[in-house]
Amino acid sequence: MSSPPAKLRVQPDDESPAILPDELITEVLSHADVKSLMQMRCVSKTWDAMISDPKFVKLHLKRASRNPSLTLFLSKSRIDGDNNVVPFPVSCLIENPMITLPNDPYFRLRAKECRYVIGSCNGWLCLLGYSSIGAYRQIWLRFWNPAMHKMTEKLGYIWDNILGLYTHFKFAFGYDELSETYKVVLLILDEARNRTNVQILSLGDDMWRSIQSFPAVPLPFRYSNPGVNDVVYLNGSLNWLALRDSFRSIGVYGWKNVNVKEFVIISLDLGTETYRQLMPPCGFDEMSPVEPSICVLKDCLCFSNDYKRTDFVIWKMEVFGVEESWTQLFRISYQNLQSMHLDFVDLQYSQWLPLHLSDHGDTLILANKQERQAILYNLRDNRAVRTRITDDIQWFSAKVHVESLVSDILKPQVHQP
Amino acid sequence: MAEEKSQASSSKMLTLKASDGVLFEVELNIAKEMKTVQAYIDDCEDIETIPIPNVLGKHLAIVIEYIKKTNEEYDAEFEKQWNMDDLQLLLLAANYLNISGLQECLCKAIAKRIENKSPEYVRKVFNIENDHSPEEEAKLRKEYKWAFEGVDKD
Repeated sequence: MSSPPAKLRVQPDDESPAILPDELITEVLSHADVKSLMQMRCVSKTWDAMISDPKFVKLHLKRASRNPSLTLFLSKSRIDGDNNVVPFPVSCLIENPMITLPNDPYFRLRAKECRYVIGSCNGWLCLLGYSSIGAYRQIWLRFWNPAMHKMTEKLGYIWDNILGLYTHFKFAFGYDELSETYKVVLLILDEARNRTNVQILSLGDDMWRSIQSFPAVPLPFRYSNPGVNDVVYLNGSLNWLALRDSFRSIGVYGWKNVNVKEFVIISLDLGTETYRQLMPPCGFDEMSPVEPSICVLKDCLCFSNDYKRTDFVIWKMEVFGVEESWTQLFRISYQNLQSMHLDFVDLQYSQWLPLHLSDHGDTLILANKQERQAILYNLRDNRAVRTRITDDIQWFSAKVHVESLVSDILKPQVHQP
Repeated sequence: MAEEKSQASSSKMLTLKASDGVLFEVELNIAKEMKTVQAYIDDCEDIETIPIPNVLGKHLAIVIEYIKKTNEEYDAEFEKQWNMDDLQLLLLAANYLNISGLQECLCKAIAKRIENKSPEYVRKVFNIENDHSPEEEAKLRKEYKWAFEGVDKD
């Protein structure tokens, strides 16, 4: 069935239907959701082959990336303290429905023997679980594609001492396009030796392996659960906000001693497994009691900081790696973000995290550490509304996620000559 | 049939001739959105009437209207007016005329209409013969049982 250019029946009265050529059918299907596509494999042998083809999977993923979800993390949910993770389409979130998330066992983590979501990549969630054995924890990872109903076994076992996971370990999940390998990176703070060790697990390998230690001190190092967003995956690299110079323990009160010039963004290329240091925007020139952060908006690395406790500023690195390309994206006054109903909340003293910027750049989804709800900020008329989902969501753990047909992420190690 | 855009008073007009002979007078900037037509103009500068042999008059009218009015709101409502056959014919037209915005809009619309429908329904829509053996199909249905739950009635 290949006939370019497609010919139509000319007579308008002709009863025969149009016949779409394969390329157009492929294009139509690339817009369909995963559930429907798995059903459509039954349509015919050709369709089965088309939908399973890795090229189609890539095309579908590209389209799906324009319609992402946020994984909503519910801790200690209504059912016996289990954690839930529910992918929620951004387009739906922006419409701000007043709803309660369905209590679907499919989204519970305990049954998967896991507790947290480390990251999301190409439709796969990296989950983390552990069990305590004496003074130690045995930690493991598990990978789950909710759209495809596929999940790996537990793997990547690693030990920590009982304090390590919540204070000295940082996990990150990403994908190296060149080798087509998914990788998990673990930063381990080694206070005694004044350095941060780094281990990598390539999915498909049995073991973690060490790489060069981290060239700075990653932020934040204080008690936080492993699911909190503290690393940014972008185009084959993982990026952390860090402090250069010698190691210091940065407690909650330590910010006053930190100089703006000490901030650096460490970028780890997942292909070469080497580091790069990027300076934050030079417009960020004054310290503040509020911690800055990095995120991805519109496929660009972004840096956010408080400005004199009056505004929240977001910068965008237009060209990745080019420090001169930092441009101010938004400057939002805290007054505009203030909720009418919560005037005891001091927004200017708490940390912010931008989660998503809509396609046409008019709605910004923002999370604030002090608030239960996320903020939908309309950039055209500078109005902020709170989300109305009634569940208790940990917005600082929300990951950008897509539905994908990628069915296999464990790759046997290929030995390069 | 011809509708002039209010702004361009001195814009050149072009005639497009559909497969069933229907003629459409359009402004050059509208016609240029159809990359196929643009290529035609680039090749023969003095042309005034361009034949569009693959597209019926009724569909060409819809395509021209789309080009004139397309925006987010219009696109959202656009596809609702047409039945599945027309959507496919319009997609063929958009593809032939090489109008990427319309092509994407139509692909999305068709995809939406076949989502969560049974394989039999989808086969009818695209006129496809089932060449799976009953065993093969049963195997797929079993392996992806979750996909077949809660399917829309045909």
